[in-house]
Amino acid sequence: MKLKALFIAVALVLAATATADFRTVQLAHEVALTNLRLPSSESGTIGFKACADCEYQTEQVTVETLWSINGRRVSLADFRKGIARVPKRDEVYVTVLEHLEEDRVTEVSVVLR
Amino acid sequence: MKLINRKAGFFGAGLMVALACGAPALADDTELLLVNPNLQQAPKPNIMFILDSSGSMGSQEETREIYDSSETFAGTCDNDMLYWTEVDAVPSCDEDNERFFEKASFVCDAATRQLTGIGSYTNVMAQFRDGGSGFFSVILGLDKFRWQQLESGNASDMVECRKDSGVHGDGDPALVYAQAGGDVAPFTADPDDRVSWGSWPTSQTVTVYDGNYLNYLQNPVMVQRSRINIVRDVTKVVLNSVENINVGIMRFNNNAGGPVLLGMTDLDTNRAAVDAVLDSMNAGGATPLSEALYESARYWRGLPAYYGENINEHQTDPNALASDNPEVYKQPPSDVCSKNFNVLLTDGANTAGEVDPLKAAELAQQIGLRVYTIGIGAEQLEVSSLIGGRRQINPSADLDEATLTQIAEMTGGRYFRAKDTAALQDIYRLVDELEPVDEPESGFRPVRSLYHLPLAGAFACHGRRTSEPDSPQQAGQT
Repeated sequence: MKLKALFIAVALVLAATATADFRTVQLAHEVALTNLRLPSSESGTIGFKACADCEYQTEQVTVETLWSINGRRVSLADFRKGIARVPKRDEVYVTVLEHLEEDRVTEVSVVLR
Repeated sequence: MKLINRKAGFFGAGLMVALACGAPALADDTELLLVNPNLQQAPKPNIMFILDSSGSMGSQEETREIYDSSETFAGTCDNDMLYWTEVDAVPSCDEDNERFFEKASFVCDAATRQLTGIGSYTNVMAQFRDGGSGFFSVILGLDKFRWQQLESGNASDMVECRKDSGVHGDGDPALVYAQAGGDVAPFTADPDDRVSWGSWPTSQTVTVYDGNYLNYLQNPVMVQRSRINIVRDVTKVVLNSVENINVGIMRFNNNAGGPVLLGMTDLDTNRAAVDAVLDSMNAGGATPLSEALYESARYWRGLPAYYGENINEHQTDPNALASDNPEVYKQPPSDVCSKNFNVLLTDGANTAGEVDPLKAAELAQQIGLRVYTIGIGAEQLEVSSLIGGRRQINPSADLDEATLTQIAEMTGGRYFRAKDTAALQDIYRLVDELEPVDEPESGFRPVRSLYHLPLAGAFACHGRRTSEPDSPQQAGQT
């Protein structure tokens, strides 16, 4: 297919499927460990900056919020321990998954080398 | 004098028709000289997919379920039909649309993968049918069964595509060329007798849509999936619908650069390996976009691995390495005529690393590497707030479209924005654009010229006008 035909096809399908656009239900934030403030309890609030220049934002966590390190489920307390002694904290990124409609955090995960 | 003028007019018109029809015949020799007759196939393009695997790719999107051709979708379209169009619109299946034909009539083998994978296929196509009556149809032989343009309302006559030429006919492995001429068998083993694809009446570019796919479009099933899963599955579907390309796959490290998970490999013979690498992708970490792009340039040049060597979060494909201590990339085999490019897909801005994105693009530019960039993400939306009322959220706020556009433009590529699954799927179809030319037939013209038919017509008209006076009065004058 020539590029022109491809662009036409893209435009067509975009038009045909306009009603099926992505709608973000849960938004994942990439947060450097240095920019993360963990909640004091399982139903507290987590604070983070999603980028170096961003403002701190706070989101609600609940007892249903999942905490994981290297894909393994842990408690909030173990998560706190797990990241406590990580060196180069500005190079380690945590993913905070926020449910937009429910306005709460559903999962906090980190991959440690 | 008036009679002479009219005769000259008729003869001139006939001669013009003859010359116009003969023109392609004159072009034959020149074009044949421009084509290497031994070149059976252009080199395969090499495509490196650099897929964002950062944490934000874990965002959950509500989107249309990816098309699965094994599922039957209900709708107004007939699932046993293929609907065709030449224009920029997905065909409708209302009663007025007669542009469809039975799937059983479609002998284009090259379309199978794409129709199964993404529900549509575009190529030059022709239908083996008779058609037309009247003077010109008879003169041009269109009243006899021959390959010609697809006919609206004709659902049963055989349809073939250009890409099958020399590869596949209608089942007999020896008869692989659509045969030129009227009142002949549809296929021949003799390449000299093949139709001249690209020349009228076998020059019609058509997109065919599976009726089942059109039904799928009519009734979208919405699901929730993470961006990384959407990207992974759409990539698999699209790659499974194309052939004749080499692909490689890179991802991001957690914080710096990105490894070559799969060195450039022949897609046709390594589909399972490609799928396995895509299946291994998960989301996590930051977005070291420019460093991954930089690392890809090192791979293309066969230089020592940098982030692939120093950061061992994900294993570099051993086949991508010429040596493993220290790690030096094996430059992908590349013909001087083959096309090499990156497809960089991301949902965010460069958030980690030391390399400026435009510096990385400059490096790609220096080595003649085109980079197509794709930004994925939803539009701004309004959601409820715990404290009451509504709030505006832009889930694609991090998407740095300006930089992605610049990277693409600097390297001769192009930036696309994918706002839904189907769009992403179609954007990925750009790999089709870089598929090799079907065969050296683009410059081929039939050896057997047909210019004598209209020329004979011209002479016949001229002779008739000469022998038959315009009026009794003029007869007397002559």
